[in-house]
Amino acid sequence: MARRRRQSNPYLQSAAAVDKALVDGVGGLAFTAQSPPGVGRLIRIPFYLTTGVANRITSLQTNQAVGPGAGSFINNLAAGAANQTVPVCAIDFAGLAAAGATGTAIMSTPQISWATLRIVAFEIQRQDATLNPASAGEVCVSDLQIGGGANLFVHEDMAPSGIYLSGSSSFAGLRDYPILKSPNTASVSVQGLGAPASARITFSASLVCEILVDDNYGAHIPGPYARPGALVRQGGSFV
Amino acid sequence: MYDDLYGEEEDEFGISENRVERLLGRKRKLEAMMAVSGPGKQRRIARRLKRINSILARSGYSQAAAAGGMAAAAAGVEGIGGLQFQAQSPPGVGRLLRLPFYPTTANAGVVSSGGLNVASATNPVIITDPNAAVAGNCSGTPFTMRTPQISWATLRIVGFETSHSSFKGIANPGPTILVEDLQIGGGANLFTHEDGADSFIYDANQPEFCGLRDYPILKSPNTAEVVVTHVGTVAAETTTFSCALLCEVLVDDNYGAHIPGPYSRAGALVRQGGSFV
Repeated sequence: MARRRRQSNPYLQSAAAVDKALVDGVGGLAFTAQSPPGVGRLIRIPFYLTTGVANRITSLQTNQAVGPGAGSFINNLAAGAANQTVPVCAIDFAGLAAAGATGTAIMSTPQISWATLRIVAFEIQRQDATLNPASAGEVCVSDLQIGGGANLFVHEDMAPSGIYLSGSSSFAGLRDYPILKSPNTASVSVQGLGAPASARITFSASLVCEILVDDNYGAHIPGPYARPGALVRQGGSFV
Repeated sequence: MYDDLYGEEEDEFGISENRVERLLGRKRKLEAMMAVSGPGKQRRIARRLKRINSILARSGYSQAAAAGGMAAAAAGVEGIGGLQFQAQSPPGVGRLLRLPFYPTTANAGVVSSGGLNVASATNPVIITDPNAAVAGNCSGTPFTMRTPQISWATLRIVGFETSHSSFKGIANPGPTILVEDLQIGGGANLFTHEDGADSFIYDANQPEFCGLRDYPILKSPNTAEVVVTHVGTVAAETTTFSCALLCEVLVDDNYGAHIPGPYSRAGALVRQGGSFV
């Protein structure tokens, strides 16, 4: 009864409103601080090169000489060598006969046997020369697949990596947020575009995921964007 | 009689603010008089108050609306049309602290504050130069960096951050640093990648923090360690690099116990099952 009377008293209501206003910030000013996403959220799974392109796209390698010689960068580039432990790759345009595209390489994530993940985004990190001696090269991506399923990109063909560049103010969307569970892996096609004199590009790609269940650390609560209420859909052949 | 004082002065827009103020002033006086008046006068004052309240009610004035206006005025939001302002703020006491990793193990081709190929427990910044270890090398060997023992606090780890800038030819993309195997006291890897990942994922300039598999407690004598490797495509390029743990201070021997951020409170760390739980 006392509680009801207090709620209906306009003077007490006004006092509460003033208190709240003073706590929240005088003058309508609200304060925000960038925070970690929460345990198991927005983690990154790197892609590793599985199929390189000779003389165009290769993995980098630890403890590596520039070359020539076995295992050197020059030799690996000539062979389009793929490395399953170093996710950073190089695209070299020097071998192009004319301006255009390199062949298409394939990158894949490793099998994550210890967790069930929900994919929520795709990201690329790239480094370019400070001064391009010719037309700037570009890294293009297409056909993001999980376990050989339908393309998660909205574009059926190539798209520039700028769409998915990390450091952008927002994540690019995907057609679906599927589950990634071992033995399935994710794969993406990568192609360089440039001129023979374009500067070399180094890049890496990663999936942004939510850990739903981790064999070591237990089950987590995904972010609001990846909860069932946010994933409602109707119809569709995959539903 | 009161029609002269409080009479119908409304136009098509309703009662004026001045008139409401006059009525309220009169009402306050009558209420004050009522407390010191005899029963007969109190009845007359009550009738007058009833009349004033009736006029105010017809005009649309209410105490709740007036209280809201007073609250808005006190908060400084009156008349700003619902516009809200946001400002980036510090996270609060004891939150999002950065605890640097130090190159406590000497490694060929790594410059610390002690010099080339020398460990340092006092300065976390390193310069990686694989060419200095093996002439002609563009990539280095993995080595471990470690946080110091924090004996004066109990911390919760909530993130990992890197910072680097490269010396490179102007027509080269430059080297990068791989990071792998983030461990606390020799425990399981907190990164989701078992092998190396491009440290740009964890770069301090990224607009958001990258997640970890767990937010464990870091308490002395445990320390955190991470393995870093320089990779590049051209010899004689270097990277100036440092990395740090993001932590919340749960208990500080000098400054007391703090409240961690919402992302690391008990309600945000709910989990079920798992071999370490």
